[in-house]
Amino acid sequence: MGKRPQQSASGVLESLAREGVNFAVRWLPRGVAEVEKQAQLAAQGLRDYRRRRQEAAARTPRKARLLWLLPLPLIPATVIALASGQFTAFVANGCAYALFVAGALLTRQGFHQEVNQQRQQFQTAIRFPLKTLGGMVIALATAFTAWAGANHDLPIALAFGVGAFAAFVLLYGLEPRRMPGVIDSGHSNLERVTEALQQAEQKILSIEQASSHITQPELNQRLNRINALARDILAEIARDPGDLRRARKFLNTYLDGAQRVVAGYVKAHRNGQSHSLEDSFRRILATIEEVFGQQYQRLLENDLHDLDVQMEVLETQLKREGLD
Amino acid sequence: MAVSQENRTMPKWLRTLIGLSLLFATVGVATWQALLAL
Repeated sequence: MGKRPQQSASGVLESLAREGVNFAVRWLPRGVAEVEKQAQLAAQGLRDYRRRRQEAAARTPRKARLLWLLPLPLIPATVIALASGQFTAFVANGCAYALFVAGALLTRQGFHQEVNQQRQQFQTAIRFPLKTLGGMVIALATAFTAWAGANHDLPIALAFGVGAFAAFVLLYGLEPRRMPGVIDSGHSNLERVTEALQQAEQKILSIEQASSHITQPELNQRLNRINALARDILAEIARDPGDLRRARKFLNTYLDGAQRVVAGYVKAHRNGQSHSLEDSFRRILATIEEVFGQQYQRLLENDLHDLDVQMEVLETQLKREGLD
Repeated sequence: MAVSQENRTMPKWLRTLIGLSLLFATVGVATWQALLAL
């Protein structure tokens, strides 16, 4: 009689333990995967933050303020020349200051263009070298100031200009060279790949621009991750143009859809009608992020598969033709 | 794709130092001389 409760208790314990093990087996990997995913998201957020900081710093470098500060003595010089009735000096100093301001403005635009260029890896449109032009205008302004303002001889004034240009190049650099975005690996339709990448990049840029109008940090972060994934996919296609065929649906359908949805949401957000859409938007963004992630993984796996095939082919060849 | 300008032979600090010195010696000097010449 006393054995039966003991047996049933041990049976219960045993079944409890079994259930516990089953539960752990079922949920632990998911928990670990979730933690890993969260860690990856946090790392991505940190990278985004750093990138934005670097971009902001590159748009307005502190050392570029010197181009505004150093010509300041020309303002009192112009005023004094006017007050003392020296018309030639007044015009010379005024023109020189205007040239310095023009050079500083061009340089600022050049910095902006440089940052934008880094985000437009596949655009081949020729841009005006604003920063180089800014440096030349600063050099001209310096030479003109030395000649007309400080009354130096022409060769000395020219030396001032050359020195200023050299200083400009050393401090701010000139326009960076552009490398071809797509690697030419013997792919027959290189132009088609480049064109597809350019169009896709335009879509990403318009998503980025639209997302800057969204104020909810959570949605913003998700959009940042989506954009980063889309850029990773484009980089992967550029590295291996053969991937274009596999990513056609991503380029033609998903990216287009994402762009339309984001633009539509931003429009509704501006009109103050986005509250009812917020949940649906959040859901669709989660889906887009997941699909983009899967697409990227598929391209990476495909690379591994290609490598695996190459290794097998090489191994077979070596075995067949190698030295005895 | 923009090429990074980090792979230059001259160290960055030296480039900045020479650049700053040259900028002060040319733009700074020329503008102050223009003011003092009046």
